[in-house]
Amino acid sequence: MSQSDQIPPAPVTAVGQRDISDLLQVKPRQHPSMHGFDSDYADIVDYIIRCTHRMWEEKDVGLIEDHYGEGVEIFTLAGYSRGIDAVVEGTTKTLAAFPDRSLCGETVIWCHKNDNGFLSSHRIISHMTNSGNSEFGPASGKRATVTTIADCLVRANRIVEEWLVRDNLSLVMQLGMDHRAVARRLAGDISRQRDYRDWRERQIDAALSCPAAAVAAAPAAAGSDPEAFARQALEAIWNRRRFGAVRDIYSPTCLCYAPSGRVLFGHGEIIGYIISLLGALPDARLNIDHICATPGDGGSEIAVRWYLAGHHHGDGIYGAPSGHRVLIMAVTHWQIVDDKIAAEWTVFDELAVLRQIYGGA
Amino acid sequence: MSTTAHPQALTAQQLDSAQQNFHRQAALGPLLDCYLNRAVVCTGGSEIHSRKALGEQLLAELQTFDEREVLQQQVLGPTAAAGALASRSSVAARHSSASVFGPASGAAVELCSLALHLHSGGRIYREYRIVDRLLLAQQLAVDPQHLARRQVAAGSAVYWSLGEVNTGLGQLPPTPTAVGVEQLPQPCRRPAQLLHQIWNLRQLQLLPQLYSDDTIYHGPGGSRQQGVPAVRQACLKLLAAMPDAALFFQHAAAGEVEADGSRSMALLWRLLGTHRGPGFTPAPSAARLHVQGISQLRLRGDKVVEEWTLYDEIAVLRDIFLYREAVARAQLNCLA
Repeated sequence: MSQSDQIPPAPVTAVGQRDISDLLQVKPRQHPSMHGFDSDYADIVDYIIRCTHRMWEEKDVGLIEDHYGEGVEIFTLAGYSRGIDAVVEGTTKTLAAFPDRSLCGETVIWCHKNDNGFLSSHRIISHMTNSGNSEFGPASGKRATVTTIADCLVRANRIVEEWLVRDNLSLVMQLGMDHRAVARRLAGDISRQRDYRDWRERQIDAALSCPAAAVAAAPAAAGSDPEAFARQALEAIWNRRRFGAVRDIYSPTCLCYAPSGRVLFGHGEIIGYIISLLGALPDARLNIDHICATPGDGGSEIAVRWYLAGHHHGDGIYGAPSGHRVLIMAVTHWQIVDDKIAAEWTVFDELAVLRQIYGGA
Repeated sequence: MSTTAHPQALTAQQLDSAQQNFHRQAALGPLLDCYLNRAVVCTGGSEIHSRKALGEQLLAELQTFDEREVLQQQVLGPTAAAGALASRSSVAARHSSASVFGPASGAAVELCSLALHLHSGGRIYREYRIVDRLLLAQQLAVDPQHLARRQVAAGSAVYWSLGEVNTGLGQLPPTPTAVGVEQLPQPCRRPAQLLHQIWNLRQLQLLPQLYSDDTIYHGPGGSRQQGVPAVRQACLKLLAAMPDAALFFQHAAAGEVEADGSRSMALLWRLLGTHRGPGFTPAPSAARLHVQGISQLRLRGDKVVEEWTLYDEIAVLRDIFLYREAVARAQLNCLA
């Protein structure tokens, strides 16, 4: 038995409340689960934090060639892309519009996949100045802070699928632009991409035909069975419209950061937020795409990627009913304390939702 | 930034020293060393994300208000690897540069603030810092309403006022026990429970159970009053303006028992309510308000003998004007 076999593997990095200067220190040993990864990545969390820093903050965009799979698929609510070239182009365009973009990684929630891969959910707060033209409009010179969650399927040092949600409506507002005008202008793009259109239609059909889950005999505890907890919670609140279950599932002092500037506090406001979305999409169904959880400082963290699909048949947050089929792709991060949700971050691109409503999709 | 190994715990003494040196010598770097790179600083009306952004904000503050002299400074809380510290400071300064308060006036001002710092691994990761901006406006002869209106962004602001304020569930009264009180440090639990009864159950007759007859109350705008009636008046001001108000405790920090037998503690609270009653503006606005506040209490025995309470009244006014503008533009809870 070699010496390295006798030493138990180091624990996987926890972002927790650790400073970026600590997180970027090179770790001496690689976790044995990192099959096929570059030797300087100690574990999956280290990989996500370090390669994000290198590509975006050190501006080594070319590292994408070594960190993305050849046929990588990137899913966003505003479009779909395939292949490394598209990732390089997208990153370069974003950096041209926001050259000083810094990416503060708030957490990386992750889990193993069966095929020697990992699924990571990386929540990032970006600070940036809009000094170049962007898809949203001419350079405004304004500074903005925006939340992004990047869910990545990673195998052997390469991201092979990525689901990216960014709070673009909040970004556009901070840039001083009229979000309605921007959404109207971009609305046509959304239905022109055939691959995207097909993917979106598939997700809408899947969500709307998703059968109701059986009601669990006993509620799952968030700490011991986070996946069952998440499934039961979302099914009860969103699909069964048991909005009152929020009181059982969330802490009464839960702070919830939701898209487009919503900061919600406590049961009454969280329930109001959910009802406001379902009021606009009254037949909407929620379909869970992925759940993962990791223990963290002071409680566990759960990441859920979900789709909400329905017809815009209600008045409310999206204006007069258009009748359009609408898809929302969202990622929610929960911080669990004493088996209740103590804090929530939900990110989806509400500008892309408006594009669907204005675009006649 | 320091290149030596970072200490694994942040003590009240370290933070006190860093804050004092910041005011006295403009020692910004050592103060920023106390923060995590992605620290969030909640100021009552907005959030500052990241140590870098905080540094920019503090540089601007140093430039705007110079010639600083620390009048009072107290940091309290246990030494621990993770937890909460609270601080209260009063700093004399000169208004030396143009800012949101207008052009440099050269006026002497007093900067008063209360803060609660959540820390782990030797760094602050979340901070709630309430500066008495109402006092600053008064000292610089700036109309607070004018200041608040200037902060209302022109253009496409959407005002979110979703759901309801849960004072009680439907027609039911609030629960007799304060929400989350068991998570607060032990010395804070009785005061928090009584404050819950006073504020949420509207049992203002209990004020004398918590406050001594000669209690001193320091409120926003530099107000200093004595006696239980002054505290009652401060409660009524907010409750009357927001008749459905619900008070929640989020965090707390408690100090040790001092030589004179007193103990200080700080409670971070959030008051949710709808502006349906008299106060803040000549007419109620119907705006949903989130009032973020900090109360630092000094107790002798089980009675509060002195209290410092701050919330950002200018941020409250700004939210009222934002709400009115959103209603006028048909942008209340509506993106389209």
